[in-house]
Amino acid sequence: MWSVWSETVDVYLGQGVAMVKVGSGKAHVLQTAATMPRQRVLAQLAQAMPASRPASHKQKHRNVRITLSGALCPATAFSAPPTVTRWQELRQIATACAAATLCTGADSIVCETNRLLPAQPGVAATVNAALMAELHAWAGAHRLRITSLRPLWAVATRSAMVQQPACGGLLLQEPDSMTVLASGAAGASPTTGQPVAATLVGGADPSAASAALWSTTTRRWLVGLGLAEDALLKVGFSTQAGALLPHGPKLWAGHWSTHLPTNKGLP
Amino acid sequence: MKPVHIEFIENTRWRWVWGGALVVGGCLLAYCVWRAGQINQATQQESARIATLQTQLQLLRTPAPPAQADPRSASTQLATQLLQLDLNKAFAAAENLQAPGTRLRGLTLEATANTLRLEYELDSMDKASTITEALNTGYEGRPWQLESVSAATAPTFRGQWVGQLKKL
Repeated sequence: MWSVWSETVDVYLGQGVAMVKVGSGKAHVLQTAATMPRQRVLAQLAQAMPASRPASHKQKHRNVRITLSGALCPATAFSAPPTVTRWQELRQIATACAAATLCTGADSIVCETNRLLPAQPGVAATVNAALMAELHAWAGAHRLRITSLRPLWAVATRSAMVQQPACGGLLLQEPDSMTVLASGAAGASPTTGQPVAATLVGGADPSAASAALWSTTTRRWLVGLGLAEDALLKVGFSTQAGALLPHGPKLWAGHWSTHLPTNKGLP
Repeated sequence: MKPVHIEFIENTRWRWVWGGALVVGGCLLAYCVWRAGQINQATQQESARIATLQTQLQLLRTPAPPAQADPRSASTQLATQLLQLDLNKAFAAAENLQAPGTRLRGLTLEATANTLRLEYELDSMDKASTITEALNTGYEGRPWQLESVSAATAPTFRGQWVGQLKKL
């Protein structure tokens, strides 16, 4: 029926944490053990969907937008020679770079890059091929259609506050990872001059000692990447809803903040 | 910082949009081709009609060739032509000619050649020039010409003069 629009389900999937929100309803947070099988996590997500759906809406057809955390979809940087102009070749190079960075085989990952002009360094997002297959199977089993699957750090870069000219880079902390993206002269690595994209899996412990250790670890990590922490825009993503962040991302609005939250312990 | 556009799921919506645009474009193209064919056909018909009218106009402007001479109409035409001839001047020249030693022996009208032939009997050869001058008196074009002078029964001579009726 044309008069009944399909509901859009937003899903945030991380390591040990998941969120689901149907339409404009309240987000339902799932805290699971990091060792729980993915299928069980997805099953719990599917069970959580009817609970968060208003009773007045009829289930006709559902679109689901999945956002992956940095731990499940890390960011990597790559560069291609100027002679490489074909899009497929760029993807192959990005896949090879990501496989080398993540120390895994190129066949076991699915890599996607941002749209680039030739000879420009790019950013690649990597998802485990098995996870991708599980997500598609889960969607098919529950009559869902995946209309979008992207990393949360890519969503963050599309907000107005990140696209300001003064912003040289983004440091996004999620419950299970920290991702840094830096491009341009302000945020580029002073060592190589190339843009930086990297993900550090893990989160800060709520305790004061671990928070200090996490801060030190993060600072050393950024120094190792050749980045200055002060030049980066720090954005945090939390499973707890709060005040809306001005000029922040529209997706999962209310879960963003400009101060880094403290979450779980270090790996 | 520039936004990073990364999406693992291909958006198939634009396929429908481009497919619809392709279908609409194809329909428009087919309509334009069909319409162009119709216009071309109408143009050709109009050109053929114009060519036909021009041919008819040309035929009307071109005078019709003269009809083949009918023997009856030819003799009628000759009779009409002869009746239109004014022979008064020719007979006046023969009647008014008063030259002693000369005598009119014959007068022949040749309608086809439009000439009048006079035959005089002369008593001497000199009278030939006298008659010639007398016949051409009053005419600037000298229509009468001495055609021949021959000896007849002695001592006379026969002279023949021919004159163009148109010049009289």
